Amino acid sequence: MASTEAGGSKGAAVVFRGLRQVYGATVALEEFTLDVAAGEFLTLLGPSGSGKTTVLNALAGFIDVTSGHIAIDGVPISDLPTEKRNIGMVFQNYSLFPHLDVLGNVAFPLRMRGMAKRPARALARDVLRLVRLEDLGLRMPHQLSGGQKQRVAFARAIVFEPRVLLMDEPLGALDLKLREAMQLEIKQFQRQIGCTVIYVTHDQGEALTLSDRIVVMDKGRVLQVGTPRAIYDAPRTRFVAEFIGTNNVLPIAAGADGTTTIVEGFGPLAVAPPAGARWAALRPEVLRAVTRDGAPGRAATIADVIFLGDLVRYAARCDGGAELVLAERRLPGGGAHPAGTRIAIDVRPEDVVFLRE
Amino acid sequence: MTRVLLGIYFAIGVAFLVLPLALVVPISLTDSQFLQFPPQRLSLRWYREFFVDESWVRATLLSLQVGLGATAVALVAGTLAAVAIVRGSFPGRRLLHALLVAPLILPSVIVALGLFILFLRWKWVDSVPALIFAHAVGAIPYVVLIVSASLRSFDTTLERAARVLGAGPLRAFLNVTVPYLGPSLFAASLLAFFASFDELIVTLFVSGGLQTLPVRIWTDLTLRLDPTVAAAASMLIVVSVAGMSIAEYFRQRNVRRYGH
Ligand SMILES: Nc1ncnc2c1ncn2[C@@H]1O[C@H](COP(=O)(O)OP(=O)(O)O)[C@@H](O)[C@H]1O
Ligand SMILES: [Mg+2]
Repeated sequence: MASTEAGGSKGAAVVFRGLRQVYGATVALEEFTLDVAAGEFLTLLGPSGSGKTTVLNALAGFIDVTSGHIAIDGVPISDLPTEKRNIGMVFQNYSLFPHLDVLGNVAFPLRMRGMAKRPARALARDVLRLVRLEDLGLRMPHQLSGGQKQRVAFARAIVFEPRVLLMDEPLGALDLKLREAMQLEIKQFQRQIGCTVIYVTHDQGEALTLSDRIVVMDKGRVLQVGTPRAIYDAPRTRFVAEFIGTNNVLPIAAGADGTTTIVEGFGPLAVAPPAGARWAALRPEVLRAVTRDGAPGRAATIADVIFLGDLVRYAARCDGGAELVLAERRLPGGGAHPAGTRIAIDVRPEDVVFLRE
Repeated sequence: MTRVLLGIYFAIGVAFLVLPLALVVPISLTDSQFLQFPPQRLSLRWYREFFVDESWVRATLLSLQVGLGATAVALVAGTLAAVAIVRGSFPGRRLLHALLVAPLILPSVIVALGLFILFLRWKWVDSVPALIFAHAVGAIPYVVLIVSASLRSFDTTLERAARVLGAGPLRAFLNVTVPYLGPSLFAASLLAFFASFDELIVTLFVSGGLQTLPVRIWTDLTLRLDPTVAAAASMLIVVSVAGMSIAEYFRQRNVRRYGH
C-alpha cells in the first residue's frame, strides 16, 4: 500500500446497461442503466427491497442477471467468474472468516492471489495500520467489537487494491455514534485509496454525508441520480422528496388568474405552477414562523414542539387544514414557541419545489 | 416422592447401561480359564493371550483397516451428499437424504441381506474393499446427518466473501466451509469409525472368510469361551472412551477458539 497517498486515479469506471433481474413474479431490478465514474463515491439509496443488493450481486457475479450487461473500465464482465473480477466487498454482517485471526482474514485475498504467507501477512499488517487496528492482528473475529469487525472487513476488502469497492449497508449493525464516526473514516479511507466505491444504504443521512452522487431507487427502479445537493434541493418525484430529509408535500391547483398556485390547505403562492405539476414540496427549513400580529403568511397553530438541540421542529396546523413541519435554527439559550402559539407561516415562492409524479 | 422415584428410575437406567462394562473389565483380569466374576486372582494373562494369538491380532488389524477405510469413504461421500442435499435444488433431494439415512433405521439384517445378494452377483465376497464398502453404507448416515445440520447453519455469505476476495468455488469451499465444518467432520468421522469398528451383522453376511474383531469375538463366544474375549472387549471399551474424550476435547477447544 505504498502508493495509497496518490489517490484519485486508481478507481475503475463501471457501466451498467439495462440490467433486469426477475425472481419468479418479483421484478427485483428493472432497466438499471448507470455510469459510475472512476474514483467516484456512488451511493444506491432506497428502502428495503428496492433492488440495491441485487445491483451489487450482479456486479460481484453472485447472480446472473436475467438481461443487461456490466462493464468495468470498458471490459464486459459477464463471462468473468466472481473471483476474477477483482472487486472488493464489505458485507453488512462483516462476514469475517471465524477460523482465521484478523491478520489471516486481511491476508486472505493476497493468499488467494498466490502471495506467500509471510509477505501477505506483512502487507495485511500495513493495511491494518491504515484502519488503526495494528495491535489486534492476532485476535479472532469473535473477540472484536462491532466497529473493529467493520474495520477488519474494510481492510480485507481493500488490501489487494481493488479498483472497485462495494459496500452493502456496512454500518447497518452499528449504533448511531459509531456509525457517524465510521462514515467519516470511510470517506477518508476512500480519498486515500482512490478506488471507485459503490455504497448501499437505506439511510438517507448517510447517503448525503458520504456520496459524490446518489442513485435513489424504489421497487427495482432508478428514480433519480444526482449529487446530494441536487437530490435534496431538486427532487423530481414525490417519493424522492419525501425519502430524502423531511418534506411537506401538498397537492396543488393552478390559480384562476394563471400567475398563482393554490396549495391545498395552505393557500396561494405568488408563482404559476409548471405544466403538469401536481404537488408542492416545502422543506421545513424554508418555512418561516412569525408570531407578530398582522405579519404576512398563512395563519396556523403550533401543535407540537420537538427539541433537537441545534434545531427546534414544530408541527403546525394551518387554518386552511394543512399539517406542516417547520424547522427553526436555535441559538444557545434561545427559546422556542410553546404548543398552542398562533403563528403566521411564510414561504418564498422560489423555495418551493413542484413535483409532477 | 416423585423425585425419589425418578432418582431410583435413573439409577436403574444408569446401572443397566454401565453394569455390563463394569463386569467385563474385572472378568478380563482373571487368572482362571473361565469367565468368572468376581475374579479370584488378578492377572493380565488374557491380555497377553490376546496379543500372542495371531488370529486376534489379525482380526484387530483388519477391523482398524476396514474402520479407517469405511470412515474415509463415508466422510467423502457423505459430505458431498450433504452438500448436494443442502445446497442443491434438484428434484429427489429429500429422497436421496432418506435413502442415505435409511441404514440407520432399517434392521441391520435387511441391509446385510441386500448387500449380501448384491455382492454375490458381483462376486465380491471375501474381499477387504467389499467389506469397506459395506461398512461405509452403515457409516454414511452419521456423516450425512451431522454434516448437513452443520451446513444448514453455515452462513453462505462467508463463501461469497471468499469468492469475491479471489477464491474459486473449490478453494472457497476448502478454505472457508471445510474449516467451519471441521468439528462436525471430526465428530462424524469418529461415529463413522465406531459404526464400522463395532459392526457385526453386516460383516457376518458379506465378509466370507474375513474375520474382524467383532466377528472374532462372536465366533469365540459360539465355539469356546475363554477370558480373552473379555480382554478384547475391555480394550474396545478403552478405545471407545478414548475416542469420545478426544472428540470432546476438540469440541471444547473449538468453542474457546471460535465461539461456536
Ligand atoms: N434470491 C431471491 N429470490 C427471490 N427474491 C429475491 C431474491 N433476492 C432478492 N429478491 C427480491 O428482490 C427484491 C430486491 O431485493 P434486494 O436487491 O435484496 O433489495 P435491497 O437490497 O434494496 O433491500 C426484493 O423484493 C427481494 O424480495
Ligand atoms: Mg439489501
